[in-house]
Amino acid sequence: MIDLSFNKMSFVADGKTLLGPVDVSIPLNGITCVLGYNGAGKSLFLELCHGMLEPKSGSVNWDGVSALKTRQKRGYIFQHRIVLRRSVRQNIALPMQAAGWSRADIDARMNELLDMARLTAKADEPAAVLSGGEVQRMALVRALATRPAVVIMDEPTSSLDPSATTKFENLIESVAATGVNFLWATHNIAQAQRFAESIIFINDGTIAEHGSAIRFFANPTSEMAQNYVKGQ
Amino acid sequence: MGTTISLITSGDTTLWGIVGLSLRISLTATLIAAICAVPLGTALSMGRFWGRRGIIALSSSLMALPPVVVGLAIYLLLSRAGPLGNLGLLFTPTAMIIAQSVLIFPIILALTNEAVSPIEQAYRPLLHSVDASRWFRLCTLIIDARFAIFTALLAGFGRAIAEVGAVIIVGGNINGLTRVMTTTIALETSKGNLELAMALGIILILLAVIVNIFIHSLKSMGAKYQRVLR
Repeated sequence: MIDLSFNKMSFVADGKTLLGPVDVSIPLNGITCVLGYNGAGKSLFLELCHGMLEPKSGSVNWDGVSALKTRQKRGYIFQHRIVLRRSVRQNIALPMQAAGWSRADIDARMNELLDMARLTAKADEPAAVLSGGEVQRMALVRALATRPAVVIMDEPTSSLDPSATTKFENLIESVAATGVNFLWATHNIAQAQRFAESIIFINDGTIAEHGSAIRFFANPTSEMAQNYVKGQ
Repeated sequence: MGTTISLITSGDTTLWGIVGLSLRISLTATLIAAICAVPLGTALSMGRFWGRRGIIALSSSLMALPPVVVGLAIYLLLSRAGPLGNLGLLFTPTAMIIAQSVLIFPIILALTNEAVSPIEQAYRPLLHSVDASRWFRLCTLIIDARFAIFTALLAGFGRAIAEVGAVIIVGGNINGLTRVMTTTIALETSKGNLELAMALGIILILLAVIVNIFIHSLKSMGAKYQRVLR
């Protein structure tokens, strides 16, 4: 269990409030899906949660510590694929190198990560030759490299075919079983129903609802959430 | 033509001495300019500060800096009456290295910036997400743009080795001391000694071809690692 709290947090750009004010504490355990319509502010919400953006006012904290100061304790997977012009192995090594790990520690962790992503055979090939599904599996183990307690994912399967999506989901499931928490933005309601233990529903730049996934899908409180679940 | 070829193939000490000095001066100038321009060009792609665009525009404009103007400026700095006159560097290979370094610095800076900027834009979210330090970002970008940066260095070297205006002003074209390929070609042509001038011209063209082959090889090596969307 890890506590994600927003203390009177709001994010403003060009004089317009894009998110907030949010003042809530959310306990995360297992897989939490972030849902909401296009333009609701999901990506912005995730970037604020990870500390990649600084709120205009208030703060975002993980277990009481500012998200801005603890980025290396979390992993992040972007919606658009980011591939370094390096081999698969060197791509995966990046967060460990940034965190100042020794070469011996990186090598010791690397085999485990390559095996997890089923990319051992392609470890020394340029990452540019990987398929879309392989790139996202590489991104996942890269996010997991420094053994974070939380991984934040922004629609990681949105551009994958069904087979690649299934492989990615299976990997998420096996990693979640080891105690890693996921904050996962998705547009796929069926995916959220299959995997989420809790839901955060973003609407119009604020957290409209949060809580158990079973309760959310059975009985969404707000009208917008009801429409969203119905696919309207 | 036969005399020209035999000058090259016979290992003529005068000719190869000039080639050696030219290479030493231009390679040193490229190295010095690279040490300053590569990190600066990369840092310019990373920074978001006021005046950044102005600096990039200025460095691009300075790519076309007239060599004789650079030569004149360095001459004024290094001449006896100049602020650095007491160093006694005028009409030495060191003065020629300084002039070539100044001349190719904006070329390497602008080409490095141009090569690194798209990579920096693509990598920025990832490097930010792992909370990478500025030093780590700088090194990551230089490493991953290495093929394009080498191309920038070769372009700088090509400009330096083929340059005549600045080095003749600050070097003085002294036989055995500051006489390089380009200044020798100019001098020997004016004297009517076309064999030596042509031999040096052939070597200069060969060097240009070799540099271009390197540039194309590096481009194809770099392409192997570039991201392919599937």
